[in-house]
Amino acid sequence: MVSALQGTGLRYAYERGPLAVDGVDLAVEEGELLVVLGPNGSGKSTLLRLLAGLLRPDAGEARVDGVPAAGLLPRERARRLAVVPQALAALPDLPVEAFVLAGRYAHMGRWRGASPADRAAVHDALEAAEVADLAARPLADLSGGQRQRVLVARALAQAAPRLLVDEPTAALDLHHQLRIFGLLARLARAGRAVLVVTHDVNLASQHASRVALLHAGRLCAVGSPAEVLRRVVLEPVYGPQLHFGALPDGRPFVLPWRGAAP
Amino acid sequence: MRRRVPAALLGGLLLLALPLLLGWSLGTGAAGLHDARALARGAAAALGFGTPLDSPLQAIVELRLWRALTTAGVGAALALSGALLQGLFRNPLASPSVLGVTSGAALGATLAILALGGFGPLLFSGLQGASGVLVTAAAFAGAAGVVTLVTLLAGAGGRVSVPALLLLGLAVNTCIAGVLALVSALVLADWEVSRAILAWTFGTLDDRAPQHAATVWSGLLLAGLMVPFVSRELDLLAAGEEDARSLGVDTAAVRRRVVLASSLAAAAAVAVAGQIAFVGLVAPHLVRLLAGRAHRTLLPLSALFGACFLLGLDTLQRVLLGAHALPPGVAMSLVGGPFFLALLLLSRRELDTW
Repeated sequence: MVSALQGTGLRYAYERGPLAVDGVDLAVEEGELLVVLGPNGSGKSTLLRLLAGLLRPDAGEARVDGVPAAGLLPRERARRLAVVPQALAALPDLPVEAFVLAGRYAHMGRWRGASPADRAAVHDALEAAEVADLAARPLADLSGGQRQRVLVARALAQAAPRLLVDEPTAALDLHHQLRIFGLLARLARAGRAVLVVTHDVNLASQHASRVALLHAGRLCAVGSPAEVLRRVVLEPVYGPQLHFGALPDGRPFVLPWRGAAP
Repeated sequence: MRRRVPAALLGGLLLLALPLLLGWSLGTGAAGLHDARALARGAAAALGFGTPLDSPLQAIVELRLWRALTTAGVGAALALSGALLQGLFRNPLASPSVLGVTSGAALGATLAILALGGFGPLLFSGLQGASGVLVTAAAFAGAAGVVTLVTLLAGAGGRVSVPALLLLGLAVNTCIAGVLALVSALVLADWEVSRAILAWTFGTLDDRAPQHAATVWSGLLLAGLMVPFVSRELDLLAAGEEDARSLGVDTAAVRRRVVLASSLAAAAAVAVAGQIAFVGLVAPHLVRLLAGRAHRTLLPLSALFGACFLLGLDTLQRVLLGAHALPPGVAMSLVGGPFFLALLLLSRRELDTW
């Protein structure tokens, strides 16, 4: 079977830097939400950019539906996979709806404006990401949580069956963390292949179909949340100051714990 | 988001202003030509329609017409080039003169003229036949060389910070100024040639002929053809290079097209009028403030604004200063210098974070 997204032997080093990703094999299947966990600087975002074809690996290959990502034309690649960046280099001076319409770039003809199909896709994306009420608001006026959902909406408007999401909850409060992950999990259940990079172990535990743990550019574990979120797996990566517990539904949670007071 | 002038309204106003300015320019000068109908008839005749005016008047109208058309074309080309470069480098201080693109074009043109033998006679007789084409091509090579160099130095990435861009421009301009100074020093003994080089540095709009107008307008037109192929892409690039690529923009191709179009426009302007600074900085900046930053409207409106701006300024100074009118490069520097300084002061916060 051909995986929706697949990296084999991925290796990447930044100019004059150490290896950021050091020989990673990872596949994401349709209908699953794969969460890549790892401490700061473990190479999570680099791995996402390699799988998305935005970076060219020094070694190894990224494939989308079995096709090498490097061989795809930019528009073609954008129709197959969408990326939700952690943040934008600069905020465009646009209302939300116009910004989300940018997600349709790969579908639009050069000589025509937005078609009814484009408008419909934008409308549906705004609804799905629960930002339809913000459509006319300027992007700069939004809160962090709203902006994050608008970025997801733009990726949805792109109508790509594969979705790669970089740190969607980095700056969000608890409520919005749940809403974003709930949305991503629904998208996966609806048949998309979703890869999320995050450092939040507990959100991964609650929403992921599978979890991959990255440390110093290497994968140290891949499996169900219950398989990965165990002391023997996490302690070598995060150190011993961890407290493990179980949520009411039986899924594990992990807290940083300084230990019992002396 | 601020309240803005609708782009269509601004475009309409500029389209209305251009012929008015053209008429004003034609009617300005020692020989008082105040009959609008006669002016229109003379201009039409110069372009090959209808019967010409009486002989001295017709010659004056034609002389002024080529000057006005060249001026408008130069303003439009420089402004379009500036708007393209600002979009590419995502930096409001980018412009053909700041980055050294006009110097590059001037260097190319100067070397070509020297190589063709005799700077002086050629400049005074104007661009003619094959040599004119060669000079324009050399100017284009110089401009394209500089834009490509700056793109490479700016790094494969994308956005260039204000200080980095200014330093890059400074370095490029200094290098080119050195070579141009060398050329001037070598021909210093020849009074006529030195004078011609000096005149070139200031820029000139005097004694323009049909081929000057044709050169700048065809360069502008060719660059303008590229506009639909980069507008939406430059909009998407504004949020970041990698983000644009993830949306499906072929950023390498967009960069090539912008480099080509901006060099073509700047080179065409420099080849017929020498170096004129700041139109390329001021025009896109004001249009962006007035009508927003969507390149679909920003690029054509900048060109229109640049045409009106340079033509208006040139005519105004001819009215005010009469026979002692300044070379356009000098006039623009006097207006543009303070504007550039103000821009720098306004973006101080960005500079301070450096």
